[in-house]
Amino acid sequence: MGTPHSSVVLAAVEPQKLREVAELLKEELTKKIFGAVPTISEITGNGSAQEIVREILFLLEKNGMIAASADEPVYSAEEEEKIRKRLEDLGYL
Amino acid sequence: MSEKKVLIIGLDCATPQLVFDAWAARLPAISSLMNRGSYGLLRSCVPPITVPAWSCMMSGKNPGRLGCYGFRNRSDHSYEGMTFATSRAIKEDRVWDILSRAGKKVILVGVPQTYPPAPVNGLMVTCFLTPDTSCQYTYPKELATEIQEQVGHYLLDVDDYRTENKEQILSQIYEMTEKRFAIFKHFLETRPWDFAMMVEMGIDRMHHGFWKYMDPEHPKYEAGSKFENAIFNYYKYIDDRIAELLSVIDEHTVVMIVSDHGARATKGGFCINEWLRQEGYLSLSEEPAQPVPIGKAKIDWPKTIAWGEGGYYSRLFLNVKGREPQGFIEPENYESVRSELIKKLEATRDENGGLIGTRVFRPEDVYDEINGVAPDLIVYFGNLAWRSIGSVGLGIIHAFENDMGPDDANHAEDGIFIMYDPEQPAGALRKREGLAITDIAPTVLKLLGMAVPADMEGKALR
Repeated sequence: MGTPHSSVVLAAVEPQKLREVAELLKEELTKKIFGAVPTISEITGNGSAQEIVREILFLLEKNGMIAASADEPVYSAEEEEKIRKRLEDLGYL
Repeated sequence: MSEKKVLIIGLDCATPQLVFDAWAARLPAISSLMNRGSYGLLRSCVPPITVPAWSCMMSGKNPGRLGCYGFRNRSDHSYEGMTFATSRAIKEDRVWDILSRAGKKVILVGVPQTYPPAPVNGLMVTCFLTPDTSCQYTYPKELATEIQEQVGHYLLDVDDYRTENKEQILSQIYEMTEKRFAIFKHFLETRPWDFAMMVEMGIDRMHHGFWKYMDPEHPKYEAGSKFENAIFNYYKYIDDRIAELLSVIDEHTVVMIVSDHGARATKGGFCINEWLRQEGYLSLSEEPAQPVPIGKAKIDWPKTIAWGEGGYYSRLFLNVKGREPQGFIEPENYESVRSELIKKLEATRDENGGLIGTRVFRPEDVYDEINGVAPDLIVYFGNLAWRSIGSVGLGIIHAFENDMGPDDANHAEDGIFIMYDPEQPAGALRKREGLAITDIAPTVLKLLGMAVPADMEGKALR
């Protein structure tokens, strides 16, 4: 299956940071994603390697390529009410 | 490298009494798999409810280990902290996590507790715990566009289920099912895969909505209704869809048809919190003007010993000093109160004074490990012939209308298991005994040549 995201583009990352970024990224992605390597073209490359990694992860999450942090609520208040009503209607609650 | 694949067709609530006994001869695709493979009752988890049952099936672990006891779970011992059991509630690997890490390709459509979607090595379409299709309901995200192109608006579930407009429910269920099977078949045909699984919710919705028209033993049976054959016709429709799926798989594919629990006629509703009030265990500071869910009632916590949740079964929570914010029970009395409640619950009776055969479980008796906040007791009223009604202000113990609207069926502990392995000759193992819902995950892994994690409690079926 071809996907729109078939290569990693780390635009404007300073060369000296690239190795460090790549190592951190590899570690994070190995934990979070399978095979589908994303295109990342919005990275500024400013800041420390850790900051760049955080920026990359934010973009991955925003594009639905990795799960959001477990700490974030899954539903908005409106969505939660919709699910509660659905489950009540279906007899589960 | 093994070319073997595994295809699981999950049919939520598919009932052995109907599939194996009543209708097998008229469901040719399903009975063909039964005759060429093996089949048997699949004992669900405690409780036998969609959530957590499918996650137990696909993780090989019981609800205690998963820390997931129902659709909503207490996140702490406060009185308010009930959270929905989404995909993030499952911290243990499910089969597709293990397979994805091993580089196996997976296809998942509609498996409960997969919303919000998580990355897999393949694709995922989430379940009815997704608010709507404007949310990200696929992985990868772009898949939603392809679904729209293939089937139009994808139905996650039936809306406005509590209606007497049965034609409307039927129409929605058929549309939902048609689209789910169509998109799953599309993925089977267009993607590489080692493991593919879909779960169709329609049978469960049909049972709850139409059982009384089919079953002469149902207290509200309506003889000669135009919906008399609605459930059978739907099973037949499902059988035809299964035949279509079987037409696109190869000779290396093992096929399983499974359900997470069965169904039975509902005799009535047992108003757990009204009963607790009557027995002196639950106190309200203000009598509601009209029936309200327990979560909205004004409970006099310092005078309350226990409260319960409604649903197809009941969960009882005890109000313990030092554990709950306004606890009543001294910790040293916890066990004696629980034992007293068990004794009284097991003695609950119907409206005519007959014992209903209620079963009560202590979590530690049914789970080998308890994570999260488990209920203090799990109750099957009338061994699931009665549902639990959680509302207060009803003024009755026995209700013959659900507090949420019509509901004809309750859940039963045994679901179905059918497996056809083209490399296993039919014969000796045709009827299987002693199958457990936690056996499915290890069986899938073994079929795909993977090691079965030691902490999976089920056994790999041969």
